[in-house]
Amino acid sequence: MDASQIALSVESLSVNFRSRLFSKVKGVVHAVDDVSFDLVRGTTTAIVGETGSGKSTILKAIIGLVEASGGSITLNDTNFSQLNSRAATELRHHIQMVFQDPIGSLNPRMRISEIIAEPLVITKTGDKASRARMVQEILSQVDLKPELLSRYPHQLSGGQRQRVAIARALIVQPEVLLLDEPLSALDVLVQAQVVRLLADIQKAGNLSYLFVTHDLALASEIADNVVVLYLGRIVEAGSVKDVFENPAHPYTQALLSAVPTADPKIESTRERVILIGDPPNPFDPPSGCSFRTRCPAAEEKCSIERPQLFNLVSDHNVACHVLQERASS
Amino acid sequence: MKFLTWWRSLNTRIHVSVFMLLFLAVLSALAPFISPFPSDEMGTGQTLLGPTWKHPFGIDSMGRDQFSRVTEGIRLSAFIGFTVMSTSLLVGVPVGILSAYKGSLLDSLFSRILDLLFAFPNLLLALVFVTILGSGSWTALLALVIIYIPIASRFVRSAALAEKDRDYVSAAKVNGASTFRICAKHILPNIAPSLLVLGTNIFAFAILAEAALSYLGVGAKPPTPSLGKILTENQGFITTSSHLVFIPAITLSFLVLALNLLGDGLRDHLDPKKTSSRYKKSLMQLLLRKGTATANGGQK
Amino acid sequence: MNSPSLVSIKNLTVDFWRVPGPPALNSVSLEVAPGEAVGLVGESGSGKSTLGFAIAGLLDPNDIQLSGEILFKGQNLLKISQDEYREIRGSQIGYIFQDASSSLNPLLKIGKQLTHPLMANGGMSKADAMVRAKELLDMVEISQSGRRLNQYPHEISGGMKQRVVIAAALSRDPSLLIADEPTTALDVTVQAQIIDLLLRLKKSLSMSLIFISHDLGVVARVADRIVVMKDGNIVESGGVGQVLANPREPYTQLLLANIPKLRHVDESQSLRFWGSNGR
Repeated sequence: MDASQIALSVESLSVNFRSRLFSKVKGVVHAVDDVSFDLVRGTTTAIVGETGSGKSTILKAIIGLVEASGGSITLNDTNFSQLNSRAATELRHHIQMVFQDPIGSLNPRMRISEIIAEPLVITKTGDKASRARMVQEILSQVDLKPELLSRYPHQLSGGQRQRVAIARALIVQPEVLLLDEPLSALDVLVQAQVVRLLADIQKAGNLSYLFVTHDLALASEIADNVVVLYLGRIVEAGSVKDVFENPAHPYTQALLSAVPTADPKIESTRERVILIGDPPNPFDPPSGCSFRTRCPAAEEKCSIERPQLFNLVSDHNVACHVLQERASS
Repeated sequence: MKFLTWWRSLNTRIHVSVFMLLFLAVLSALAPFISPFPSDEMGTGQTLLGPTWKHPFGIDSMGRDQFSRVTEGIRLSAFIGFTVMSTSLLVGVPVGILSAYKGSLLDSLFSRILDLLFAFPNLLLALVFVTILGSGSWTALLALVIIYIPIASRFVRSAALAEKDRDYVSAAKVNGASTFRICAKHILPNIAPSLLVLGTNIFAFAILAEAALSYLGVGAKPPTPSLGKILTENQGFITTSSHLVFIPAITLSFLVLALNLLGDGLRDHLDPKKTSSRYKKSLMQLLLRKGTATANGGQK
Repeated sequence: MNSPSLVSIKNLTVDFWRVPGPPALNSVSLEVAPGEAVGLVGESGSGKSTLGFAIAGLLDPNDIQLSGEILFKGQNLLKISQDEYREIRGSQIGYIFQDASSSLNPLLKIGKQLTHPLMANGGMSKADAMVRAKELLDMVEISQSGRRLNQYPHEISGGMKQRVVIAAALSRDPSLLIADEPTTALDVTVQAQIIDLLLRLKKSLSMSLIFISHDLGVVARVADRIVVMKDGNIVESGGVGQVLANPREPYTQLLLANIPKLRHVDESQSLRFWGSNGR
């Protein structure tokens, strides 16, 4: 693929959390472990996984809210690690984030107009009048009425709040939008509206989305590519079509089959897998392949060597010893 | 009109406490007209007199007008409470917020120093300070300021800790907002309601603590009419002229009660959901751990 | 179904005094047959949780105005005293809340939380209650049940906590289990485990289940019958297949059209890895 097509590139990113000095559990958690993927300009990549898979941590590392312990992040061919902190902050203005909780992400003591204009104020963009104009413009983009500007967050509905959060992210005209489960707190109908809004905005501005979600159905609807995480590592990645049509990794298969659908035809006939037990303790992950303790096909090799991603077909990658052996034989 | 609607929206505790405080303020402001005797003048010619029209609270053993002394005591208490409150907030708010937001080494260091300070009872610490600095009204005031600054800082820190991990702070951080902007624009306004409550509480506790110090003889020097001092001076006459003890004691309780009611009412009014029992508990723990000794001492 | 209803709700109206606007439940009627699983679906504010609370008598009578009737095994629950209600709730109606961790007391060991109601209300001795508690944990498929009795809630995972909550709700063999969004806080794979467990328990204990959820997909897996609610009214009610495949009401159609659908997955999808384990 042409390099200029790639908006954001994450290269063997790792994030470690050390246990606190006096906490009961000891050790280091590899919350994100050697994760690499590219985000193609104008497309959406979904990062899916369960609690503790490290999916939100990836977003926080990209935007600088947590420190990466290894790897590199490249935006438009500029590597963040080669910049001083000031230049990095400036470059990060091209990346914006929408948080999960629309209540928590808006300062309850600020008016909507102040909230949306804040990134402009911080980056010292324009004067007061031009900022007000930009706020008006962005407001119509996210389908909010101008009279909401003088209100406070608690006077808005959940859907309106999330639109405000999106407007705040869009006002500095970013190229990449990080979306951390932005829809999970919303009702079905409102969720569908916001999904359509996000799609329209993407088309109009050639934006790239990195979308973190636990909802696989949602990921299949809005994403072009998908990255499946288990305990901080990528187990499978590829286009949504490839991964969802032919899930290769046993974990992806189990995950997909666990998603309930409202289609009685699919529900009655498709195979279902019920994973036994809970994910392992992240402080004490299994050796080798971290999924081996719950895997039906685990072999001796899986407990010794950690599987690397290998190419299955075209852009469809998977990390599994058993599959790799089958592919090579 | 606007004021009236706002006033109606306040709760009963605020209404009652505001009236109580207004009453005390008016009383001490009108004192020179009601009873035009200087509080330290012994020239009334009488001693140990009961209440009369001329001397509404009577005359003490040294021939001084008790009404003038008590009202001046109120002014002195108010001055001390206000000074301790404003100084401890002025220092405690920036220190607490920065310590919470910046975290790491500064925060650990700060917390350990506070832990050390908290290991001693409130009043004992004040006594140590006063012993070192020499007794008197001003040193008592200084001792109280030194004690309440860490209390305020620690409370502000814990309130700010709850705010600093909110997503809206992260959102501002992501855009490169300065530490000052995050503290002033995002954290401070959101902890302001609890600061108001903290302020009134410190006000009340400082008044009690000053009265206790003066009662123990290390605060106000005679003839300064601190309410605590008035109690010591007259406690010998509690059987014969009980009004000389009860009136200043009741005044002190009335003042502190009004302030506590105000703090309570403000907490409920400002943030009915957020500041419920959690803040109240942590605030009370902080103040009472060192405050009980003081409170009991003052009302002995 | 011809068998007499276990629960029969007629024109139930619940109005919160302090909340302005239309009542939370507006003349709702609903029948639940013995052994039937009914799924209540709706958006927030639809009244689905209020209905669950009303059946279990968990609404504060000081807050609400009630009319209509709730017949449980022929007895009108709105006509009995609080004490009688408590007895029925303890022994015949089980209730599971959404947030398992807040339903469990963090300071008490799991064994104690399970045995206490058995001893206080069920009149069991301590030893009997302990045996029963272990039995319950085995029933909800918690491994090493003996050891778990001595653990505190924070020592076990979220999925396991929800299992303990289910065990507690089932401790006295209720004939009706009300589950209010029991899987919403859980991960998909754990959600699948819990749904699977609930369905097997429903069958083996032959109880009725009222399953409240905002997620049509989850309800489709659990329920025999779906009841769609909106603004305190029942919009549509019918068998799972009928409601999901041929919804009659525009609102149900709108909901179905707007839920995210799992693309690229069809009924023939094969899960090679899980061939022998797959269900």
